[in-house]
Amino acid sequence: MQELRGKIFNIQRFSVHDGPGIRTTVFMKGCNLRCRWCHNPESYERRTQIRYFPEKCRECGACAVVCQEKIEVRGKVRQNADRCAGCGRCAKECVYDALVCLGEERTVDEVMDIVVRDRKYFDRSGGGMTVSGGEPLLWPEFVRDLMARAKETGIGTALDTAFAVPYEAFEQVRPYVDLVLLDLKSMDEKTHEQFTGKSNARILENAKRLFSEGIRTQVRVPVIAGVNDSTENAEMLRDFLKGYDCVEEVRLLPYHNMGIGKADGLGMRMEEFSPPDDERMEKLREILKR
Amino acid sequence: MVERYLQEQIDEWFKRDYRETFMERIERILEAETLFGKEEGAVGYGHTLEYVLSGISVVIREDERIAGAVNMRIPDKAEEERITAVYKKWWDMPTEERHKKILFYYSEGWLKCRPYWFPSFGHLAMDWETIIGKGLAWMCEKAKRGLDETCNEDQKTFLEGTILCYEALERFIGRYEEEAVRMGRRELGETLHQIAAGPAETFAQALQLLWLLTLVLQKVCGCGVLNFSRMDQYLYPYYHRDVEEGRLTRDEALRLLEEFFFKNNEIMVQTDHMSQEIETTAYTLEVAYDDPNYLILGGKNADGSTGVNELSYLMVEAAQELGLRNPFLVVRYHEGIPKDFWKCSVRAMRDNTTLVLYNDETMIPALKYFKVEEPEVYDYGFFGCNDPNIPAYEGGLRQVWINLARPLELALYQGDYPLGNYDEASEDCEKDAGKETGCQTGNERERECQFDIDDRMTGLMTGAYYGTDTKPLEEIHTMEEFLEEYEKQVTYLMGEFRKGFEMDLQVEQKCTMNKMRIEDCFLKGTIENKVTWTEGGTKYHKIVTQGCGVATVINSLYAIDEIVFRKKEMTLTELAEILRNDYKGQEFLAEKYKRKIAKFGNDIDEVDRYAKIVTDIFIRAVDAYNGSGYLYQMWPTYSTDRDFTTMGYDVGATPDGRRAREPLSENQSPAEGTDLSGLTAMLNSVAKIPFEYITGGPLNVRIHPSAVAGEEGLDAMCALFETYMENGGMQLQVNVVDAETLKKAQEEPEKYRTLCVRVTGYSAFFVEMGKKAQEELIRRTEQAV
Repeated sequence: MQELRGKIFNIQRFSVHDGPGIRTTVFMKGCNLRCRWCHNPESYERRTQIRYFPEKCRECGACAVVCQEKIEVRGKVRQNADRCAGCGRCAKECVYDALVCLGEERTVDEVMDIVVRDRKYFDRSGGGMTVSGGEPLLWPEFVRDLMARAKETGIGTALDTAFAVPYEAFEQVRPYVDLVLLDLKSMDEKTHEQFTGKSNARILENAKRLFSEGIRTQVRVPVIAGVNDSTENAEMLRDFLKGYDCVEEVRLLPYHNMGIGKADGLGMRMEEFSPPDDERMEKLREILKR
Repeated sequence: MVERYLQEQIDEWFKRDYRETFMERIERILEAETLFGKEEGAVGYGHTLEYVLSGISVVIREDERIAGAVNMRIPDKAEEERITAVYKKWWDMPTEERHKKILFYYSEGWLKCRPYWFPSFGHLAMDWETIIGKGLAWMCEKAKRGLDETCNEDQKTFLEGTILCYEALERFIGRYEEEAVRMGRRELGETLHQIAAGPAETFAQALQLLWLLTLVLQKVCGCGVLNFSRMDQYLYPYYHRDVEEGRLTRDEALRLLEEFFFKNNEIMVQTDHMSQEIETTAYTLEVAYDDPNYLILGGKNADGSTGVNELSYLMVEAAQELGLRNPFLVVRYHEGIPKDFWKCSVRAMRDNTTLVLYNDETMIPALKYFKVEEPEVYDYGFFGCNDPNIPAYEGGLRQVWINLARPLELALYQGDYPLGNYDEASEDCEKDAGKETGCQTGNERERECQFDIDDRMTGLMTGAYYGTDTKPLEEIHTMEEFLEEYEKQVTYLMGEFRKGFEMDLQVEQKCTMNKMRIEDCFLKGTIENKVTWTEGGTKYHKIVTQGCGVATVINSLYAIDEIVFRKKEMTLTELAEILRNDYKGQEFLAEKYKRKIAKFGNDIDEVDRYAKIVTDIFIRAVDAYNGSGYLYQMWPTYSTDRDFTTMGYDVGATPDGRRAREPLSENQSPAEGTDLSGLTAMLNSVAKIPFEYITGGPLNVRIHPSAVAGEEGLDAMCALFETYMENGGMQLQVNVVDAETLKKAQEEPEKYRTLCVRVTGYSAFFVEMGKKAQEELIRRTEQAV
């Protein structure tokens, strides 16, 4: 039987903002939402992609030599980049690191080899491994096996999900999850659909189920000025969470434009939003203080 | 909160003109040369000190609790020219002649303002505990008793010199007492009266005595870079007793410490004394008199208990509140160090307090390996750029930077120096470069010692170095065989250094008898043995032997293994040829080796195993030239100081993609911009160095403030550092970086590839962020400041 593989676009060590303590975050590739403000647009597509850094490129032509699709760089533009099949050969060849392969298939063993290296840091800080994305629950079997292995090894786990998936996907990994980091982008269905491409109905339904099962959860809200920073949205969220002790914390993360530069390198376009001002953030925090 | 009067002094100090200098000292010293310059060594020394101390002003400011400052002023042009002319007269001579007058001298800037008959380089710790516990008169009596015993002429002169010094100091403090009385400062007068001759009886008296002594040592004798050693240990009994008996509160102690700390800054000019290329530093007439001091906290005691006490906390607090650069605090970690003290120290680090961490669990075994005995090994500390020190048991600085990348190329070229004919030489010479003979002149290779006297005096390996004959590359078939040749070259260079050092020592012993230095009055063993520390008075004599470019060498060895022996992409001979030509015509390969071959600092065991291999080779070479046959023992550290650039300048291209003359890796850090796998990965790599054989050296870590913000961030930082220590790391110092650095990172992204920043809810590599996002982060950082 062939070993299970998951497609990963980054493994970040000394990650201190994706759950408690010092963590290693594993980013799974592919997402079923299209949040217009996304800071990780490289996670949209499930397929492997090549990110191009024109400022590093010297147009040496080495990439074109190995490319099956004959994609070459001219005038600091990858010509016919849409033909790219994501084989990653060019990135291996590029000595300037101007081409970077995003999305490599890895086995549970390969990932764990890296994760266990920081075991002592996790133990001392109350940290562990976070699986994020993209949407990790689009890889339920792989994430299940990965988390099960972590737990076996005595490493704590967190799952960072937007939850727009069938609840069954979560049920597969549930036995091995210590903490869920749940992204709730907007309580208003229309706004949600307008800005993420999907209704929030299933997400909210899943969230209720999650809470009623009493699973430790941290709710995270990216806050974008004029999109989801209204008082009403915060109040709806507050009411939605009322009575669920398993929701340990609500974190408001002000928008930043990090995704724009990344998208450029992927031949994508991202529009720019604004973060709410400090006063607004403070007001929202006040409402959500529970 | 720093008290108002002190804050005002600090504000004033920041405004001080860099041209201000201690002219009273300079004037008296110039006069002293004619008066005492020709007297018998130690006696002339004592008379000089007496003359200067009796002529400089005593300065007591309103409100201050600790007395002692110097009058500074800006010299006029004529004075400046006259002084510079004298300095020139003192030192404008061949190095061989300088050596006979001053021994080791470190750098031109340092040397120029040092009177040849009144020398000291500082870089040591006095027997502070005895000084404050017994007092100056007691020490003087001890020297006098020595005179009563049988003495030869040299011993007699030496002891007479020290007696002159003790008495001069007593009188100097006496003058301070008179001034305090005149000002109506009764309590201060009593303190000064007590410590002029007697031991300190209170915490305040102890600090007062330490301060006046420091002032004289540093500003009059040029004996700076002092290690105050474990101050929280030897001051604790005074603190404890004062508090018990109601003479002192915690807050009062804090204020005294802040004053003491500030005074350590006040005596320095606002320049970076190490940056002699900068105009302000080049100008100063007193470069050697502007050095920082060091202070050691916490650590394990000889009985296994922790040294952490209430004073340890107070001292960290004082340093954090002041936020100045001096003194430089070293907190010694040990297993079981009190959690809240660890947190207190890490919090200060996050606040960019001048505080670094060292690990007892590696340092003590390392020092023991190099024959430092119990119990004094438990009092180890540091001065200067992470140079280890056993307080009171050893004299000052001797050091050598062993450039570990040089033997690597010597192994590649059978002992030939690749840059000798690469740069300066003619066209013909370049054509010949690949040939075995090249344009090298045979006699240079066989010079008396590879380390010429200039290099021995300053400790740096500059210019051409040649090695021993090692195997032709065609005969090397495995990595292990290559490593054997590398080791032969490392050992050869170490032997050359030892040879040169011993030649110098013979000269020193002939020329420096009776050349006392102020520290001879305050060390263990000098008075008892009636001989200066330079002649062997103290128990230990060490040469800080600084292994340099360690990551460059690790990366290069791994690259050779990969290219030649594993992937067999070319032969060793072919690779050496490419390197010798500085990748000329093969630039693509340099880029490839730089980025496509794994590097130290990413927690990759196949690469990191060379950390142990290189260290083992280094230590075996040191061991080969240490031992009972030598007065001075080499204590190896991994420290480049700031010379990784100058050292790189003399090294040809290396197989890690580094071009000829580029900088080497800095201190223990991975090569610049090559640790790309996160901080934990970097620390895991460095912790694979077997530090139980390494006696010091820094690891610089940059952290963005947002990555460690808040209580959670602080907890993460505590856990991170403690785990590193548990994993066998030796030292840590952090920069929690600011907007300015981020701006530089924008200009030169290659150099800042590893700068990790928190954007909002997560972290990213700063240089990978878009320009606009970077700008935002910079603006936000500025707001935060």
